Amino acid sequence: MKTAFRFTRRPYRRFAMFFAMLGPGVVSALAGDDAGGIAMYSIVGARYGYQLLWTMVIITILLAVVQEMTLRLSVVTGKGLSDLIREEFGVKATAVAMLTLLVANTAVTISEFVGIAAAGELLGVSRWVAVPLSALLVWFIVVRGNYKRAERIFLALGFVLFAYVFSAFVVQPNWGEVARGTLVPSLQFDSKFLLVLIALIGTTISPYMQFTLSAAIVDKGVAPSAYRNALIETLLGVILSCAFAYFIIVATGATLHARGIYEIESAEQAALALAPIGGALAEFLFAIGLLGASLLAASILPLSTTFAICQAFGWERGLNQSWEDAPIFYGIYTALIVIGALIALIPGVPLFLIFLLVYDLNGILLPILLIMMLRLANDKRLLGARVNGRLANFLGGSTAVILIVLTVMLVVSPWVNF
Amino acid sequence: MAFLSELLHRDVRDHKNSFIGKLRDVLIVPGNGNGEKSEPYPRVVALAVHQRGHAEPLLIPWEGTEDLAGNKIILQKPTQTAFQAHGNAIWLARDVMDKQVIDTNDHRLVRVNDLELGKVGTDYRLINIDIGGRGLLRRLGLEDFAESIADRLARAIPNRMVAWNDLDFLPSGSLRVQVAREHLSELHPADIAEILEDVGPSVGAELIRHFADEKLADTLEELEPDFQAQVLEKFTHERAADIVEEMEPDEAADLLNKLDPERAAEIVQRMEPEEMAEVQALLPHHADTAGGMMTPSFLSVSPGITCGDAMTQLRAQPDARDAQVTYYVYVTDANHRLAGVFSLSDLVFADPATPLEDIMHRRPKRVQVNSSRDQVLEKIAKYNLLAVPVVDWRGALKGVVTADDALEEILPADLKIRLPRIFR
Repeated sequence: MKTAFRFTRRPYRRFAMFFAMLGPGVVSALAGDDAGGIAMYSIVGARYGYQLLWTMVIITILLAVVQEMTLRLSVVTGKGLSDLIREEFGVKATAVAMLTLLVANTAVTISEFVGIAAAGELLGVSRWVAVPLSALLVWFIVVRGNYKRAERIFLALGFVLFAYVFSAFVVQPNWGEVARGTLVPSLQFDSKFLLVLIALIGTTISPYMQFTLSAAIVDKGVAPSAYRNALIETLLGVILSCAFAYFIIVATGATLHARGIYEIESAEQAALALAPIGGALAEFLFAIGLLGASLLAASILPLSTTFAICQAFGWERGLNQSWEDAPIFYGIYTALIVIGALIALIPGVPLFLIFLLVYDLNGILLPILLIMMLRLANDKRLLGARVNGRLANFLGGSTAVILIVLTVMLVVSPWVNF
Repeated sequence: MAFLSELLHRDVRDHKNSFIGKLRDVLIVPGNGNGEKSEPYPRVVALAVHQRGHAEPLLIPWEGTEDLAGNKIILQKPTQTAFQAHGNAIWLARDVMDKQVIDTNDHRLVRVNDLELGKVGTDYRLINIDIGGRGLLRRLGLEDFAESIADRLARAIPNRMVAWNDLDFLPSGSLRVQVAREHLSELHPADIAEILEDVGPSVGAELIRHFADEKLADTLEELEPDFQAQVLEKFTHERAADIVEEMEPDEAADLLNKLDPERAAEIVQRMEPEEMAEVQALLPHHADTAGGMMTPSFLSVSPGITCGDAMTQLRAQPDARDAQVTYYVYVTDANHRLAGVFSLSDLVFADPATPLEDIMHRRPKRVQVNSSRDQVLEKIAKYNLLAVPVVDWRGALKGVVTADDALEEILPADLKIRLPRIFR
């Protein structure tokens, strides 16, 4: 009877395999390239040209270390990050961690709706229409709709942003300068620079990614034996995400910075970076991509945040529950979307300043979660022989230390001349 | 009454009132520690005391004379020997506090916010688990504050407790205690399935690993196919085959089709010949056709006999008991062609001498093996059937699609294809 039959291989399976490649590692890392991410990288490229490219190299390595730690923790324990924090550190530390997550992610949610407002206006739709409509859309898709299909549509829209990569080549930048910016570190110590640097780290390594990755790993039930494959996939995601960021910086550096536009104040300006390949359509391309990226993040970020919080405190959660059974779950979720949309509607809200401040907040809060993760990853009772090695501890620890030092410098910078 | 969160970090003093250290943990042994049948509320057997400069805590056996109610814990007798922590002891702060446990009464996952100990005679026993907001507030040191606000609003902070006795543990690296409980496996498979979906496939598989094959199969059948596959991945080929054998053949075939082909082949090879044949017959059918939805187990008798003979025939069929639908009995000729159908109740109430043809419907509604899902649904709905027979091109009866299974096919489009499962 040996192999007396064959399992039918259906044509869609091959297609599914492709999406399986785009697993949690890739998706959670790409999610970092949302509205705020694009804005941040554009700000960096416009203001500093290629000067800060070297930081992306370091950030890539640090992000890889943090994501690997998250992956290992979730694969070995079979538990999500908020689970682990609660179980190992107790209620008080959990309250701190969850408050951190809530504040950081509320800010990011605001930035997604600001992104939607900006994209809408580029497409000639008033923010008074675009924002409330998107908020409703996002809420309904998640609570009542077909999330899978929506996710694919948003992803497809977001892929338009790959135009940045082509743009970076078409514009034919001075590759010598690009290489120098990538390899030779240069630093300034004024508060403007520090704000940008912290935000750059905060947007690339945002806590949201780690929580999403660990939730997805637990959901899939990745076995310790499958760790290697999951790791490859995760690192692929890290590299893709950071490479994407890198090319946005190159493209904006070669267009905006080169033309003397150092301060981005509007989405129209940011869209100029796509002009080399988009021409007159640059604004349209930028708007579509921004809309997709923002909608994708706005539909999953509030939900995963709410979920992590409810899980940590043991509150009823999940969309299978009714409003009556899970009032806190639906309450936080709805509040996040409503607050995000309302703040994005404030007239005359300075678009790019919001992005910058949101990710500064993320960067400043990141060490709190990072230190907890490092402690978890060094716990022999949890991971046995698979606790952090020296290198992971050094790099993970450095990330926290760098951010803390930068934050302190930022706070004292108005009074001290470095 | 005392809450664990309030006891921890208290001073522990010996009988001469000199300071030993701070309370770090409280140990219980499920059962009474002598391997006898477990008591409903386990006794505190030792205190773990943290001493300055020592990494490992000092384990002081409980003598039954201490009091936990005061703001420090004073031992009444000189301690003779340190408590020997055997593998069975549960450290409440380390192993239970803050963990997720299963409330088997309400069959759901809850988080332990605090533990309540009560004095029974000279012993302290673990009584309740606090799973409510009050426990959280107490841990945050805000209970009194919240209470004063609640008082002003003339409301009470609800107290949510679960009896220790109603709990079951999730398997985890840190808690390798064998708690002699059968609670979880006594729950309805659908309730167990819901808990599994909350904890994910890795932890979920560990949770049900000790189930009997049949119970495990019943539980798997309640899960969505993708999740079934992920859980089954955690078992060896051998065990997976045992489990798949116990599943309804149609469910088993759907599940195997979800697996990696090599893995599925490994499992099928290890199945008993009879179940293997049934499942293999179903495998090639596309899941969205009648062939993919049907189950090959049904009741059938041969034509041209009396009702009494039909009863005898049914009783003589070894598999008849396992048939999913017992309302309909199909009449098939020597070539398995579907000749008619009658209801089991008609048979039971008919005179044994009545020819079968008298109670039989001659032209049963049917679908083809390759009929689409929608055609199957339409037949079932239009004629109010509990099951519809599936025939091949020659008219031979291959199986039946039950209304249950058909209903499940409609649901996913509406309910299931959405978010990562963990958010649902």
